[in-house]
Amino acid sequence: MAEFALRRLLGTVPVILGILAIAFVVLYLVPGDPAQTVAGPRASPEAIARIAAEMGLDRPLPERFLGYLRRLATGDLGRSAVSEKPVADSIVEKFPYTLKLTVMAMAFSISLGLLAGILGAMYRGGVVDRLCTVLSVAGISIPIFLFGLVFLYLLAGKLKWFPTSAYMAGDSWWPLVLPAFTLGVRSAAFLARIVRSSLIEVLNHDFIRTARAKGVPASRILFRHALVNALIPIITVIGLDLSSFLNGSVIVETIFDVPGLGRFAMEAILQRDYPVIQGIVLFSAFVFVFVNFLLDLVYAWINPRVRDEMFGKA
Amino acid sequence: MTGLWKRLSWTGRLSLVGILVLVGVALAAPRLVPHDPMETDPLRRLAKPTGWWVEVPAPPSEELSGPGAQPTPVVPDGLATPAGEAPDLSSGLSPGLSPGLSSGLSPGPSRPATVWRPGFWLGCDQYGQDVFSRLVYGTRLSLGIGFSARLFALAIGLTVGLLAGYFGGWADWLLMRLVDIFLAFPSLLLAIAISMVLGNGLLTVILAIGVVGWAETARIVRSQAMELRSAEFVQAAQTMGASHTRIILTHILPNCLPLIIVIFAMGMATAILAEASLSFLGLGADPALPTWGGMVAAGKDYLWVYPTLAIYPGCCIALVVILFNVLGDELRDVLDPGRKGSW
Repeated sequence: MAEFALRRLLGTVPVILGILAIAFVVLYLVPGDPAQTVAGPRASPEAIARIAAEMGLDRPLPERFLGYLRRLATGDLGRSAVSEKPVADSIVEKFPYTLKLTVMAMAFSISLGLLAGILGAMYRGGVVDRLCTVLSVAGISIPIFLFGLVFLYLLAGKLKWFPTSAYMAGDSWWPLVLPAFTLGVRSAAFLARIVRSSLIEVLNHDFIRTARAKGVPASRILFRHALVNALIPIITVIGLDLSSFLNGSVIVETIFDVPGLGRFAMEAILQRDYPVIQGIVLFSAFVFVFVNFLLDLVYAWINPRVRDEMFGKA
Repeated sequence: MTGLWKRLSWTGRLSLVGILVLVGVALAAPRLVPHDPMETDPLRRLAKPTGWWVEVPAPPSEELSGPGAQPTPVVPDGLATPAGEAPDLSSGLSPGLSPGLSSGLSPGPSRPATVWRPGFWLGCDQYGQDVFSRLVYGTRLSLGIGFSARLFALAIGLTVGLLAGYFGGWADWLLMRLVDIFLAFPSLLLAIAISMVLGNGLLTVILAIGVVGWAETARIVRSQAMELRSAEFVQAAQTMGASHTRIILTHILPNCLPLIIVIFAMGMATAILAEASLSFLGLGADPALPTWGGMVAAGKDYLWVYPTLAIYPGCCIALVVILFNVLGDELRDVLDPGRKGSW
C-alpha cells in the first residue's frame, strides 16, 4: 500500500510540472506588456524598462521559468495587477467560502444521487425509475446558470425562502444552501445514473442470486452486497465531480454573490488581472490533482485489485 | 442508416428528429426570423411581447399597395432594413390587432398612416432587439460553434488516442501524461485561460472548447485501440506485413467508428454547454452576437423586472443539450452494447 502511494505520488510529478509549464506559457502569451500594465499608461519608456528589469522580464524564458518555479515554491503567486494584494493571501481569504460551498454541494449531490440511483435500480423499469431517469437527464443537460437563475428568481425572489445574495454570508451556512444546491444538482444527476447502472450490473451477479436464494432480506442484499461492490465507479464520479464543482463555482458564485474563489476569478477576468487568474487556475489544478491522488488511495484501499491493474495497464 | 433508425427507441428517434429540426432552423435562420437580430432600437427597450402583427407608422417614402394590404413579413437581409421603418414606442408596445380588423379601421384609401409589421413575439431585450429573432440565430451559433469545436477536439483526440493505443510503450506514456495534464485543469478555467490569450472571438471559443474536449476523446479512443491491437484480425494483418499506417486506417479506425459517433454526440452536448458557459461569463464570441449564453448573461441583469429575457435562451440551451445527451445515450446502447450503461 505504501509502495502504491509512493508510486502514485511520483506519477503526479510530471502532471504538476506540465500544469506549471502551461500556466507559465499562458501568462507569457497573454497580450499586453505586464511591465506596461504595472507602470500605468503614461509611464516613460525608462520607467517601464526599469520595472521590467525589476520583474525579471528582460531575462531569457527558461531562466524566467526557473525563477517562477522558485517563487511558487515559497508560496508566492505574485501580486494582483489591480489591488496589488498578494494573490496567495486573497486565495487563502476566499477559499473557505468555495470550500464550504463545495462540501455542501457534495453532500447534496451524494445524498440525492445515491437515493435516486438506488431507487432507480430497485424499481428498474417502473415509474420511479423512469422519473429518476428523466430527472437525471434533465439535471445533466440543463446549464447550471439556468438552474441558478430560476432558483434565485423563484425560491429566493418570489417565495423568499432563501436570501438572494450570499455576499454577507460571513461564518453562517444558511445563505450558501441555495448556491450549494444549485452547484450540486448536476453532479447529483450524474451520480444517480452511475449508481443506477453499476448497481444493476452488480445485481446481475451470481453472488447476489445466491444471497437471494439463501433468503437474505432485500435491503441487506442492497446495502451489504450490492452497494459495496458498486462503490468504485461511484468514487470515480465523485472525483470527477470535483472538477465540475470548481468550474461551477465560477458561475454559481457570480449568480449568488458568494465572495469565494469563483467570483474572485470572475472579477479578475473582467479586469484582465492576469496574475490573479493564473494563481486561481494553478490553485484549482493543484487541488484537483491532490484530491485525485487521495481518491486513488481510497480506491486501492477498497479494492486491492485496482493497485495491480493500475500499473499493469498504465 | 435505416437499420440504425429501426434499432433506436422512440426517445432516440424523437431526439434525432429534434436535432434535425434544429439543424434546419440553424441553416434557414435568415429566412425564419421576422426581424434583424442585431437591429437595436432604444424605443423598444425591454418591450413586452406583442401579438403576431404590430401596427407601425408608415414610413414616408415607402410605396404601399393599398389600405389594409396584406402585411408582408420583412425578411431582414443583414442590416439592409431602412432606418425609417423602426416602429415607435406606442405602437411597438400595443398588442397587435389582426390584419383583417385593420382594413376597416384604416383611414384614407390614398395614404394609410400605418403599416403592419411582424410583432415582437417574445419581447425585446435591453437594446430593443427582437428576442425571438435572436433565439433563432442563436441556434445557428450554438450548433455551429459546438460542431466546429467537437470536430477540432475529435481530430486531435482521435490522432492521439489511436497513436497511443496502437503503439503503446513510451509514446503511450508520454501522450497519456499530456492527457492527464489537460484533464487536471478544471475545463472552464482552461477555456478561460485560452480565451484570455487569444482574445475574444468566434475562433477562440472554438479552440478553447476543442482544447478542453480532446483529452477525454483521446483517452476513450486509446482504450478501444488498445483492445483492437491485440485482436486476431489485427495480428493477422501484422503477420501479413501490413504497414502500421494501413492497419490503423483500415482496421483500427473503422472499428472505432461507432465509438466515435457516440463520443461525438455526447461531446456536442458538452461543447454546447461549454460555449454557453463561456458566453455567460462574457468570454464567448463578440457579446453583440446573439449567442444563447450571452443572452442569458445580458438578461441576468434584468432578472427581477423581466425574467424571461434570461429564461428563454436558457431553456433553448437546455433543450439542445438534452436532445444531444438522449441521442448520445441511445447511440451508445445501440452501437456499443459492450459498454452499455458504463461511463
